[in-house]
Amino acid sequence: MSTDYTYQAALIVPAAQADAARRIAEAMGWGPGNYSCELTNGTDTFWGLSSVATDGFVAMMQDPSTVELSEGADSAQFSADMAEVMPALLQSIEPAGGRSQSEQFNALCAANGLSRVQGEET
Amino acid sequence: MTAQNALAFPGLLMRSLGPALLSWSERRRVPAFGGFLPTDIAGLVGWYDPSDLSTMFQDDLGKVPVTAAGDPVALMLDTSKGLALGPELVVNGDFSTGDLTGWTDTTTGGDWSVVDGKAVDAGTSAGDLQQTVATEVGAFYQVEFTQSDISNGNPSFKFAGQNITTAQSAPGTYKAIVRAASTSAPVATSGQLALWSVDNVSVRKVAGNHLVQVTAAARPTYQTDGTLHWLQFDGVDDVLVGPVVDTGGATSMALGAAFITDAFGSISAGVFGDAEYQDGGIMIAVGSSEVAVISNDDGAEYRTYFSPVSLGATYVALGYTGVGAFHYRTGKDEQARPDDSTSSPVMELLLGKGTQGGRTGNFNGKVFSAVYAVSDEAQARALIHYLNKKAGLA
Repeated sequence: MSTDYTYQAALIVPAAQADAARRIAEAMGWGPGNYSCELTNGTDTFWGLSSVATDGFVAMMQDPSTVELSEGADSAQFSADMAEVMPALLQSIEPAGGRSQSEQFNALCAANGLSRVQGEET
Repeated sequence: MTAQNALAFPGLLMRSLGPALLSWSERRRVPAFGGFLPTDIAGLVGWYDPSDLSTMFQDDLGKVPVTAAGDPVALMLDTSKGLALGPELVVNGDFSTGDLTGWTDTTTGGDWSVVDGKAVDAGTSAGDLQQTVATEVGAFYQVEFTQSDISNGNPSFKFAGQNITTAQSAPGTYKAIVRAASTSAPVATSGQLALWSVDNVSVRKVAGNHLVQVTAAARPTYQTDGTLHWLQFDGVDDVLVGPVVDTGGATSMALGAAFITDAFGSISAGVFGDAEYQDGGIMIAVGSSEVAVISNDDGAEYRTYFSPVSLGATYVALGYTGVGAFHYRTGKDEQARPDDSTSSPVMELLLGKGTQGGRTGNFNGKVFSAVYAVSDEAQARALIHYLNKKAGLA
């Protein structure tokens, strides 16, 4: 058997679009709490995720009309959230296994001048 | 057992094939590494083994099994208690009374009745068939039911608000594993004006401290090279989350993991543990120059740094806190520690992430196995032997 998760994705959104981005993920059946990695460019806050992904996800990113929303998801809200998020979304999507997910995520961060926010040590 | 069930619960399939084949628990007792398995420890509280695909699922409701390298792992069952099922919680789930005893029909037209041993929905009015069962917050429950005779509408079935089936599900028997969020949970049909039948409704607790991740992006993946099996954590957001482990107040505990670090983060990353700074628990962590084994007492913290640590190298690390307490890492001298240097865990069990001293770090690497037990010193050393074998070190 082979996996359906043949892609890996690194996605980053500005904080202003984070709630809409999380709603999109949840409407797609990804559950709550995606975009959990806090990032900064020194001034502004961003939120990122790293995940494996299916062909269906890649097709949806290219053509949102192909999305299969989870039961109960609001399609009008999904469309509005996509319109808000996509122009601001930083993304890297590639076949799985070429490099590690962390290398992919770190490269996307570096290309956009972002670094991870660390908590204060107590 | 249907073919569908066999796919979803291959371990259960083994058990259903009768005495000619080994049962799940019997297979786990086959001496694999010098005759010792973690289940030989009576106080075992958590055993996570990626080589057993029957314990891993791609979704957090346990409906889609992990079958191939690259699959995400949303639910990892703890096999420390043999996946023992608790007593049946549903009253008259097989409708053997010939009526709806135990159930409440909320349809305005009284649509539900029992015909030929099945609950049948006449589908003429709004409402559902339901009953509420007592649950434990955070515990996992195996939910099973059969639907048939669907001739109209889009019926579905829920437990604790989670969809066991969706409106498009075909006739058949379905199973799921659901974490309870409160002290009671409804078992309910859904699907107004649907013509269908329901039978063999079952809800039973699945013993163990199971790990789950409801957030898709935060799920590690299952990987294998054909010999070894591991969970791959991405160092960004992956983590599996368990409950606050109930150790019964024991202070003599062992927690260990076999792992490879693929890359260092800017801060230390938790591999496995439930430690909170100076407030109980044990944790294995990785920094840029060392593997740290940390055990906490109420008001004190004991850290042992084993350095250096090499990327790509396989390590076993374990903390033991009872009489003869020690911290251990492969290839380094172990460090003796004060006895009883831990109080009961105060935070949830995490695999792939750790929180200590106000900082949280996600692990970037591979975990071959992880174990947690109320144990004595000899048992703790046996666990080290087991973990070394799982990682291909011995």
